[in-house]
Amino acid sequence: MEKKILIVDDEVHIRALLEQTLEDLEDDYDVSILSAADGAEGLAMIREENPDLVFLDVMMPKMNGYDVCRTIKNEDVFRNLKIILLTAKGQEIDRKQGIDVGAYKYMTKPFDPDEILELAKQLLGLD
Amino acid sequence: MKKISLKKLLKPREAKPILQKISHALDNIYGVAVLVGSRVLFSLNEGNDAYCPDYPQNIFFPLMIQNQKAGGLVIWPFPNSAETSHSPTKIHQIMEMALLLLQEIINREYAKKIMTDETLEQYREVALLQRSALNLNTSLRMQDVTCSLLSECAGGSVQAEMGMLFYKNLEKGAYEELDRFGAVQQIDLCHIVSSRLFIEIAESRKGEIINDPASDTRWQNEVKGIESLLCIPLHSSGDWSGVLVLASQKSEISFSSADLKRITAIASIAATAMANAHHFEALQKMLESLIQSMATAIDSRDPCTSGHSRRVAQFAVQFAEVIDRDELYFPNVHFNEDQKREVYYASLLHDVGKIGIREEVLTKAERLPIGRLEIIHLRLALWGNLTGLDWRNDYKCLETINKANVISETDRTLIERLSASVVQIGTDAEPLLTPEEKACLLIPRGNLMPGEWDEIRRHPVESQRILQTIPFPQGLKNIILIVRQHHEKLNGNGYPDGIDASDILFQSRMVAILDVYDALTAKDRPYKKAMPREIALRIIREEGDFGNFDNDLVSLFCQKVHDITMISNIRQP
Repeated sequence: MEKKILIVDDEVHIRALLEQTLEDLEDDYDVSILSAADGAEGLAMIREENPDLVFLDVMMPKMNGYDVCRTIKNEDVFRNLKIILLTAKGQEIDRKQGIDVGAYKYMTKPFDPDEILELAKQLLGLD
Repeated sequence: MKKISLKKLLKPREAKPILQKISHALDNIYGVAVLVGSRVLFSLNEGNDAYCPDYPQNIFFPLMIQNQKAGGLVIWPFPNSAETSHSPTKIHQIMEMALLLLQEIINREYAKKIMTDETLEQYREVALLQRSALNLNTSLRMQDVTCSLLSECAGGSVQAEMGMLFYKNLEKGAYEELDRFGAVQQIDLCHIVSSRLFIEIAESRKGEIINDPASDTRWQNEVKGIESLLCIPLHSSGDWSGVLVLASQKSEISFSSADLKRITAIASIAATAMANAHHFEALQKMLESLIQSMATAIDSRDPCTSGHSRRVAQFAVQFAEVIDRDELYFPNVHFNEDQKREVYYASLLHDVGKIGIREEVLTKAERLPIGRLEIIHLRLALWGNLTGLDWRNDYKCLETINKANVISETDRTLIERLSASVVQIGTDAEPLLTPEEKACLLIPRGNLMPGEWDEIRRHPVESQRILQTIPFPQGLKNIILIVRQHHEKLNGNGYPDGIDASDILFQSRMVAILDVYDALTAKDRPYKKAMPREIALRIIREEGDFGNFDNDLVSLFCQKVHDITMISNIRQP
């Protein structure tokens, strides 16, 4: 069954970096990688595409990552959806807030591409 | 990087609106599609209007990636369409414009991809350095640091199949191996230290890549089969220095400046950690020597105890390892290297307080000193002469009593009788035995007077007094307590404090047993024969039964006494 990863980040270069990092999954495992450029679009795409894994930036216009996460995680149908918050905000309270709104993991930028790839493989149950 | 296909560079989201514009500009009577080879990447048309490779009216336009054909744009007039209002020239103009646009997108996306790849590579480098810096500085043990460094090298940071770490042994003036990875044995990579290449790079303190050693004049093929070398000197702020050598036998592999920079960065972190480890180990060795010297000095005051502290210390380490492995009596008790070292030092120092005990008390082997016996001899001889009574037999008995551990009723009677007798010298009547002499001879067990016993029993407290000004670091905090407690008994009958079992440290209980065992069984003592092992063990078991020693420790000790006390097994922690 085809798996979907959604990348939600308002910065074009971060979207590009994440897409490229996860590119191998597209080629080798038939995973499709989608992206959204702000919180509202991200929310809509989650509802529409029902992805298996979401990389969600925190600082975004229209709707920030915490709000997206909280909204989605309040809906029962997305109970099992794994959301990874990816952000430059590094304080402990930020991390705690991330866990409080239902994120599976809170990762900081700059990220280690290999770590992201391994995490995605693991959460999608590949290899 | 993998070969980039058109699919990655031209996305439906961007391309389809353009295809629509093309179709519209051509009055919607042409089909449009983007192809890769003969496959349709995307198209606006399906079903009857779909692209057909053999359709004679297909018009193809190439799409390039980096000046190589990667796919194409194709238009075809629908089979049943009306004549187009555009001339062929106009169609071509429209298509050229569309192609320019699409090609621009492809080129832009290609550039973006290349830069993104480059950025990701840098992210990886940063992540590697951050991780290495953390890993390389977590230990003061040389083998941990060398292992960390070589794992980073072997783990893919650089494409070398093998490597070796050397350090300069200042005393010998030569480079010696610290650690290795890969098949270095097969080609004897260790011989590289004799190469002028190695030596010059080491002295220059600057790392180098040698991608073809054969063409380097400093290389005399000291190691066969090497195609590429990375040689990085390691130096620290002190006098410690080393060299990291990474090698490949594969001709297709060559090291780049990025490799050199990356490995130099992590190697310099490792160098500091290794220099620290080296100095730390040297200090530990010195500390240990000092403590051993102290122990030897203490033990040598009495020929009976020569080597005692050293043996107890060595037994203690062995005992700790036996306990660590044991599953029956002490499944949850374990000793790490620091804890073994702690009990080792505590054992070396356990008798240091004996320095305050007077020589004659410390080395007392008989009840009365030899000089005193000679005086008694004279008294008895005189008395015998004057009274005509037999005195030689009495004297012989006195000699025996003097050496004896325990005296009998008969002995007691003799002493009482002699003390009561006097020898007449002129007007003075001298008792045959003075009250002090009588008291000494009457000591029921051993040969120490109560006052002398107290003096001996002070030594744990004296040891503490001597050691307490030493600021023992974190892992050695129990030493003083172990030394103070090694004569305590579980039933509270020990000394100096008479504490009971719950307050006696596990290590103190160990040392208590080992101290007694060695005292009983030590060989080469001038005037006491060594007790055979079986008897010593019996005494120790009895002490356990009396509640003096820890019974589980006694049982385990007796079971494993061979392993614990075997000298050839012994190595220091």
